[in-house]
Amino acid sequence: MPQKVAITGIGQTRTRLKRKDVNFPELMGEAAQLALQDAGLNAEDIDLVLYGSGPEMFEGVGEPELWGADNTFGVFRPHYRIQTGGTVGGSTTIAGWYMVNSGLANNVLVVSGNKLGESSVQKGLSLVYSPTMGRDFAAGAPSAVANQTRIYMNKYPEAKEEQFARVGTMMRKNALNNPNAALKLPQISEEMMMNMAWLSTPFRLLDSCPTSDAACAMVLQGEKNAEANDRPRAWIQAVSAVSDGVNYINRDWSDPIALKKAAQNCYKAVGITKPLEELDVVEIYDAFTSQHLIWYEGLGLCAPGRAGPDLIETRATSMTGQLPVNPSGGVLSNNSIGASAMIRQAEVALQLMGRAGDRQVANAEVGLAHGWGGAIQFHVVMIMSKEKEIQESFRKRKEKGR
Amino acid sequence: MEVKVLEGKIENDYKWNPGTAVGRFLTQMREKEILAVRCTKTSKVFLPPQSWSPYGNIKMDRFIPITAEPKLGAGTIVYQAPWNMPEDLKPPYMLAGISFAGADSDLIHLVVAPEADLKALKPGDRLRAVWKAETTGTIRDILYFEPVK
Repeated sequence: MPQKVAITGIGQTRTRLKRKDVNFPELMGEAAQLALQDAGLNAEDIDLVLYGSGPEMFEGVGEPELWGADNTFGVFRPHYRIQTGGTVGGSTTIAGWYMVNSGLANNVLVVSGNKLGESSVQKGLSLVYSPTMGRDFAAGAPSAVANQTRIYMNKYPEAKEEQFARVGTMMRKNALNNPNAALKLPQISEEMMMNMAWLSTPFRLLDSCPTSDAACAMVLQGEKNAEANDRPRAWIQAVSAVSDGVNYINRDWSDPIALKKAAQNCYKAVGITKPLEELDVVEIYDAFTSQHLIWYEGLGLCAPGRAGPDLIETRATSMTGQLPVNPSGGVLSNNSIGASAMIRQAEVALQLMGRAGDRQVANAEVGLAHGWGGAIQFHVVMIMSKEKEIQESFRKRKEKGR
Repeated sequence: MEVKVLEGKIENDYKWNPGTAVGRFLTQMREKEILAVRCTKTSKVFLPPQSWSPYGNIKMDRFIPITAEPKLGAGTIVYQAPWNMPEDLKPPYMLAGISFAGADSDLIHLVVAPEADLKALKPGDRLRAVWKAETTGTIRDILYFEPVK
């Protein structure tokens, strides 16, 4: 029997650009142990474990789930690995949601992360490209997104580098409120962003995320177990994972079709028609500043091309704006790849539980988490609410206002 | 002192099968010809060619030579040398989508020119392929594209 699913435990590792004190299984274990403790459960309560991580090249171990099962409660129960590149943290939770929603499992532990400090990330990333058609000159992730951004700017002249600097500054300021953010730049300013050296046009160095060592874990429980558990919870109301092909026939790279579909699937499932007004908090996968513009459009927060002038120049997505996006500081302030999409979900859940500390958005009732991966083609979207019935959250929000 | 780091290196030799469609493409590159493939169900032309149409959900084997002049789709000027940068290149250079009339997708390749010329390039600007003197059947048989002035 299908059942509702709640997040009842969250664990994020103490994050640094490099965690020199632990190895990869220990890093994953740290998140898993924190999540289990947070949910008030014991190892024997867990029905199965889903273990997510990005490309194996990052840690140089071919079967990371084998190496990590001991540390993540994977012994004597089903322990599966999920891998979908940058989206993997999001996909791992969504796979866990399928398990619990279907009624086949009641308590699932999901854990996802990477330890990027152990090798050259750009080497690992360039092995993602086809060995026969582009690896010779693939310049890692920045140039694929730089190209996508260039196309977006050619199409919409109202998109400007100054907007990238504004949103990049906003994210690094948000990060100062988040103890788990890896990159802290108290001196950040739009001027500093605009004066950095070029990375790959239109990106300068700080338009890109840092790389870090991080893992995130969550406990998902079916409705009966979640309600019997007195720990704070956030309810998962809709999930969607949509992929697109790699050979973009007649494809406008700047048009995030897969994200639009994933977002619309979720909005339709919960009855959202005006996401900018109906959501209280959003966490997006912003490995690069310009992705705020492209993903806002994909999420339907603005008209085509209008993200820069309507939402970023006006600071509508800042902590004091109409719809705060990435109170955590986003991927721009912490990117381990493996944990990043799950951290988006965990951060939204913390907001709905009222446990987000200095980065708390007041009266957060309904939130959305997004993940991005592949070249530009994998997207995951998840909508969560504070109340078990999302309509109740909508109603309470109307009463209280934001 | 405590053991904190173990140094390591992974090396392996691979023999990649390019697949049927890219295999045909590379074979024709040796003849200095650019080959695309048409999806007979959707009429879309894939460049580089691939063997399966994800839109028509059919096998594709209608190969067609591309003879149109290359033009710039969009590109990013790369300033930071990636680790795998080919030895003959030096930043800044452009990583770009190259458009050909008759193909429905852009070919990802390189544009090489002085920085000022790269900065001045606009979508739709004409390009010319610079071929290697002795072709061997790789995507870099075209060394790069350059602007036509």
